[in-house]
Amino acid sequence: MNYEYYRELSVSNDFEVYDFVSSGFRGEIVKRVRFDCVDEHHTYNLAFGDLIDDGEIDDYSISDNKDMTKILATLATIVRIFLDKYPERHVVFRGSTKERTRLYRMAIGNNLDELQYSFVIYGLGYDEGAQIFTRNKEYFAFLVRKKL
Amino acid sequence: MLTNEKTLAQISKNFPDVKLKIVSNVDKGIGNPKKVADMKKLLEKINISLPEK
Repeated sequence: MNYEYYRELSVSNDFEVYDFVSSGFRGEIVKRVRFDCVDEHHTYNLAFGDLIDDGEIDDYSISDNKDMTKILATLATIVRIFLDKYPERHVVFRGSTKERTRLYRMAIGNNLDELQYSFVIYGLGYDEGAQIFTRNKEYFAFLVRKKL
Repeated sequence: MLTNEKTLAQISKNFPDVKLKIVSNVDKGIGNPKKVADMKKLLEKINISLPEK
């Protein structure tokens, strides 16, 4: 993917928390990505949003910083780094709202061919469970693992 | 070489355009245990089993 992304990333010692600065229309906003273990099968939930007090994440904020594509490309890069560090892990994520989940779905769909070169991407459905991601299909969440 | 330094060197090699800085004292917060629990429940509910690799 040849999208511009935020290249300066701060990362915690365990490579599970990443911070970067969104710079745009409304100024500079510190963003945080965090991976939390969900189950014993190496699945980690991705949380993303504005960094607020005490290291917490506001995933409902609307920054309107006019850099959405750059943000999404940065998220993709962070997932790549996380799975490079921990290739046995899976990353599961969804938007904090239906609209954001749809945005993620569209971003994956628009770049599916290239993403599938390095990753296996599943769409999670309430009835179907985990299926290989297919464009233009509704999912409540997505799961990514590195191709080994 | 320490583990993190090795990781950093490897990641720098794999992602040459990324400027990655390890912050040892980052305030990680507690995250959002409710959302993590919700996701866990959802994954259990759909009895996630990944198709063959």
